[in-house]
Amino acid sequence: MSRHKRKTEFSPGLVKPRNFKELLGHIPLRRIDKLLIMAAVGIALYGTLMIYSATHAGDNPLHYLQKQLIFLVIALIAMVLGTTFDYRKLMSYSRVIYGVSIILLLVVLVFPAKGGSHRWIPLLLFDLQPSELVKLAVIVMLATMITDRRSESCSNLDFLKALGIVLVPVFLVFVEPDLGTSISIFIIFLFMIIIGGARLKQVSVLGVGTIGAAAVLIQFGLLKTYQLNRLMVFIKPDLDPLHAGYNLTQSKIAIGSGQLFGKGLFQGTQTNLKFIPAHHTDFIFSVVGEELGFIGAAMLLGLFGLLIWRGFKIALTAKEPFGMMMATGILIMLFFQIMVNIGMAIGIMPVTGITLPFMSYGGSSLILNFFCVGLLVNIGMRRFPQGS
Amino acid sequence: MNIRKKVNRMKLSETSYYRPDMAQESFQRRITMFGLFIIIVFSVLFARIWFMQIVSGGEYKKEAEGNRIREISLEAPRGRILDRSGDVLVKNRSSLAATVIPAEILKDEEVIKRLSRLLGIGEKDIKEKIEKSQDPNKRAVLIASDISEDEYTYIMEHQRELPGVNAEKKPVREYVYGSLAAHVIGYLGEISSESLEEKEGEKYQAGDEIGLDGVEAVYDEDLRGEVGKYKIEVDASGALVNDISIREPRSGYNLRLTIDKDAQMVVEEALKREMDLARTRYDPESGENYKATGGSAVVLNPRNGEIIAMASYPTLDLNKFVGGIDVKTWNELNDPKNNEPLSNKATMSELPPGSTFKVVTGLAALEEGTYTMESPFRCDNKYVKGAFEKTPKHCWSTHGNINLFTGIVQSCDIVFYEIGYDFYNRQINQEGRPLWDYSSDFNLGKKTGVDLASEYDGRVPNPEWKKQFNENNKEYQVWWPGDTVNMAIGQGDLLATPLQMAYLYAGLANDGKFIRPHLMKSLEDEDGKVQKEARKEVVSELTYDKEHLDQVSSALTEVVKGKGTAAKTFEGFPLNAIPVAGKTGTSEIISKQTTAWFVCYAPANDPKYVVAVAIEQGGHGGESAAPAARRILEGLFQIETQGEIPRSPGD
Repeated sequence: MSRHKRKTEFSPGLVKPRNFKELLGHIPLRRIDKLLIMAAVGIALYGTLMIYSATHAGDNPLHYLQKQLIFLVIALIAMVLGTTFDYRKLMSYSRVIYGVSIILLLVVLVFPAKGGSHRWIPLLLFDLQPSELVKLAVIVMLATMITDRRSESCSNLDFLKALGIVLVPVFLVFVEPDLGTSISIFIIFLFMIIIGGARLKQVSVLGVGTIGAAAVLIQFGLLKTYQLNRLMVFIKPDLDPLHAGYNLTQSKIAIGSGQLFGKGLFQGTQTNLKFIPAHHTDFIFSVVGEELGFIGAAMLLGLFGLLIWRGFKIALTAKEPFGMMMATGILIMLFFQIMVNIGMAIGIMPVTGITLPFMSYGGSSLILNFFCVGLLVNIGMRRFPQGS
Repeated sequence: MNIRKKVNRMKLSETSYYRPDMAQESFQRRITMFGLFIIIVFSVLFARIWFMQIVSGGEYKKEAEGNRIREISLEAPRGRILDRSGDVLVKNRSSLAATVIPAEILKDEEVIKRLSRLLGIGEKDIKEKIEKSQDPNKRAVLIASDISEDEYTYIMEHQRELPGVNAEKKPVREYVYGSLAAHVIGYLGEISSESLEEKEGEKYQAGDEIGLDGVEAVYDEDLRGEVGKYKIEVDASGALVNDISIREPRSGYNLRLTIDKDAQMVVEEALKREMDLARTRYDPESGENYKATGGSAVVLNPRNGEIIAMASYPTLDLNKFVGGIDVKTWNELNDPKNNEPLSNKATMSELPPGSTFKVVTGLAALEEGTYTMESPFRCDNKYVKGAFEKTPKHCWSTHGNINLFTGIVQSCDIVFYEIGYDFYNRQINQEGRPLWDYSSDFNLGKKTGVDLASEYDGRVPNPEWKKQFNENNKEYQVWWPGDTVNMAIGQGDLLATPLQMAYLYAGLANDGKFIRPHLMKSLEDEDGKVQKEARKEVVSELTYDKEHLDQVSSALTEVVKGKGTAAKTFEGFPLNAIPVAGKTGTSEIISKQTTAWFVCYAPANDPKYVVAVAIEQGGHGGESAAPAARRILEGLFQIETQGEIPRSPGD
């Protein structure tokens, strides 16, 4: 089946809305997954509170809070936007989205480095992080490819094409350098092609190749010393408890010392005395653990669980393969980041600098993640026949 | 699974609209598998968080507290050391020191290199010091003290480039008179790990300076006072956030010694002078000049046991110990070639007391009732009685007709050989008390218990001791007549320290009462209030006939007159005003030159001071030790010294 054919076949044949009211009428509001939105917004508000708690001690106590609230407003608009169009249109724009994000990844390299890496393009309201955008681009691209595939099983050519598409951003993000996001993109790819029907043999070869490539990277010193140290320290945190192992050790102390009820909001000593670095970004979970204890941490896990569960449901029940793969891709992205970030904070995953979705301070990821939630809602509400 | 069922139901209901193809079904299968994976991961996260916060939360909480709260020790100024009239012998001064915090310097090669270059200390030495420190987390390790003002400022101004390095002002000891009374005062050094384990409690911490010898060691706890504790809350960079609590340090007590600074100076000078002079004299027996390898002098108040002066040569400059002694100097101080300047000869040289011991033998004979002061003897230089027929013993002179009294005055050996032999025979027949029991009456063979860190026992030999000592040599285990006879003249296996001999004569001077010799007069707090005071401690008392004691005393007063062995030495000394009772001694150690002894007390009729002088390998008592004693007495009684002191030919 050619894409053109499929597109016409699945096109709902909607009448183009002529005005906003009509547009609203087209949105099957009843089908909106309210639980999903509540979970996402709930986590984001929770995160904003924790960011405030972690940063209120500075000279300008409201600085981060204000900014994050602005991001949240933009993010909520992005979420709404994510629901307003028929998501299947993304199929025809997948190459454009991919192309633009790759160009942005190249552009970002010319902007001055912040904290040693070229990750941000300064915009008016926030610094755009193209590596966030590229995650979505890869998901769209792969979902399109998997849907378009001629045969049911994955041919070697398909597999190589997909690999090629992914390796470009993986490489570009790696040289920023942003090892964490680079790995994230690769993981999204890996899980998507497995779920999308890659054969065991292909995945095995990929696995061996990845390990080989990693070995080469380490062997020829292409990994930065700190990146390698972080990985080594994960294996043996006592190796260097005051340098590379410091973050890990302090984060564990913070979470553990929170005990059942935590030390109370704004009362975290590890947080407020800056023992935890990056406490409003990468280590926001440590703040939750320290200040709100097991209750707070479990509540957050519960909210994430709810979010994942709703996303999971949407992926399973999507009406056609593209929606299914899109939802799955988004799910993988969110889940992987949650797992690695929390795992890192509690010392069962290496420190890779991956943020916690909806929680960590930062505009790009918040906006993108809410846009993705919008897309999930979009996919979820369009599984039913129009007008039913 | 619920979702599966729902999906199936949906599929059925929606067939009219959309028929899922085969691919979609396999997607669903795999997505479900993925869902399972998600559940597992969430369970692991949940379990781990539960374990960290609920199971081991307490431990983490402690760590968090340790992170946040830092304890800073506030050093208590160490007490000063004063002489008896309050003159300061040892005080504290502020020294600029470079320290590092091991946890922060983290064996950073670059920083250590820079520090090494700055201070001119080997990198190896710095590393060694860091590694030697016990508590790597909190306490600063002293790298160098008495750094220059420039070095201090450099460190202060380059904190960024020298992380973990600090420059601070630290109180250190200052020895006002350098080597004066060095062996009495002792020195400070870093506490060793062994003694740190011994001394439990929070009074001592790794890296602390502790008194290692002398009164600094004995009174360390009183001198050091109590360290203050300043608890603060810090942030991750170590900057102060909040004060939590403070306990002010309490300064150490000042230690007032019984030592008289002026007397000590006189004693040291006299001793040194006589040792130097001895080295100019020829010893016909060894065929070379006397070596005078070590000497000591003790001045004691027999009435209350106060040590007025105590000197030992060779000596050392205590200021070399300030801020840690360097290895080279330390090795020099311990080298036997340099005659061990670290050891206090007054308490650590165990020497045969020679003729100074004859007072004990004489008193023993009087007490046994076997002899009186008038008992006649005949000295023809040779002693050939009984067991000594074939191996005669000799006197140092030929005294002709003599009695016990003049025997003491002229230190005739034949007299005491005779008495010794008599003691041997009586001991064989188990009559009366043996001579060694009398020796023990005078507290020989055991420590005097002076308040100094190092003191040796000396030795009173007896048949039992001899058996044990020669456990592996049966033929040496027998107690021969010669053993008792040698002991009678203070030779053989009998050993005593100069302090023990001073103590012995102090007992005689104090009518048989032995008062424990001591150096601490009192401990006073900052305001001069006495916190602890030395008490006169009667150790033992002789139960001898008072008349016998007086007889021996009067014999001793004759030693410095007429035909006495120290008569020449005391020519011109105002004996009428200040009668002196003393005894010379020249003791022999195999393969060494003779040790010169003189022990005396004055005024003999009302003793104020006991003076004991011993010069190892220094010649005869009358020629080396007695002149030193005379000079000391002159100093103590403020008698003008007149030129060169004549020397008695010895005994």
